[in-house]
Amino acid sequence: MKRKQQMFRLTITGIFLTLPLLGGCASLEREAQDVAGASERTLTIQNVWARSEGSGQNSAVYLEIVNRGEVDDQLIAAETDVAGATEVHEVVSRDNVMRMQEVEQVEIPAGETVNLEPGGYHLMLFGLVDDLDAGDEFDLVLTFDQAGEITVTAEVRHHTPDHGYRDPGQGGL
Amino acid sequence: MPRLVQKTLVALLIALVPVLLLTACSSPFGGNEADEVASAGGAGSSSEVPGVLLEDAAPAPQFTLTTQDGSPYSLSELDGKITAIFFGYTGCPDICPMTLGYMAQATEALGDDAGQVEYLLITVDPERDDPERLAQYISRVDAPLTALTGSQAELEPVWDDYDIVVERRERDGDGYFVDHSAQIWIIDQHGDLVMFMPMGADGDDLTAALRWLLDQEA
Repeated sequence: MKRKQQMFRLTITGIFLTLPLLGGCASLEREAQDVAGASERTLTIQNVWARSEGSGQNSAVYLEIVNRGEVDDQLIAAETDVAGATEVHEVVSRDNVMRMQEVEQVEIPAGETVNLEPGGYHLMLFGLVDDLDAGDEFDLVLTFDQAGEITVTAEVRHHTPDHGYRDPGQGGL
Repeated sequence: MPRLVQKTLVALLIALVPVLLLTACSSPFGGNEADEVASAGGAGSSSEVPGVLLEDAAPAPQFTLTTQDGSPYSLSELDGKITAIFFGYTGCPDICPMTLGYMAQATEALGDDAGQVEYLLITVDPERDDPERLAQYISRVDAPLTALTGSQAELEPVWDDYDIVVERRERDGDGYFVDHSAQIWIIDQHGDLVMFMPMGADGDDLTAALRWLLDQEA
């Protein structure tokens, strides 16, 4: 009897677990049909800024990605000459310990704006080739699964009282 | 008792554990002060509780380390100021500068009272963070901030005393990360370790907590 009950519960659980997966499959198919319409135009990258750091140190780049298209996209890589290596990172907290880790991709859903901001996602710059001082600018190539490569310019900001994020349009913070 | 009901009860109890723990943390002062701190965070901040008061406020664990100038620094030399301590490392480009930015934000927001608070950054990466590198790192932070380093043997007891988990993690390719706890400890004017800012607290929360502590003395 107990065993039967357990089986029943397992089945119910199984059904609930499977439902979202089925939904996911359906939307994947739909996206695949739309991919042909995807283009660079649908993505707008704005408020790109990097933390001021000294030569040899690491830094981080933050930005906003607006997807005005009807197709989901994914940020999968970033590259710049100012650092030895660039990775897409997120900060996660596990058992109250903060860790930075590389992610395969950042999902940019259709019709949404995704912020790479302090405490969340960032582009990690390993080993700066030169000092990055406030006001400096440098180019960065972002690679998206659908939109391909997009080159943007990052502005270097000083560590600021409110980490310079809320008002990235203003210089000399 | 039916098995399902039993299981549900157990699940409920497990779910309640964090709630009970949190309550235990913030209730030692009879709730009033803790509530006051909680409400001081201001609207729109990312956390409802700007500071967590310790159940048993006690003299802060002592240490002597080396500053970014290469000179010794002892916590016992506190001169009646509030001290906020964060543990981090220069290779950390996100959470650490963000938290140091909160310190700069608090410094600005406290205005005339800013001189009553000082800030410490204690490294969790002694292998790479020598005084010179620390000096370069904090030169970009607008706060009365001192950075401290030492040998692994000197730092480990400090991390332990302040409940800082430090986990070195190798990076593919080269180098390594140092995963670490990220709370900000706050020592009051009398040298007692009285509260901490939990992860998720922002610059407004830190300012509110410091302002609250300053008002306690006024």
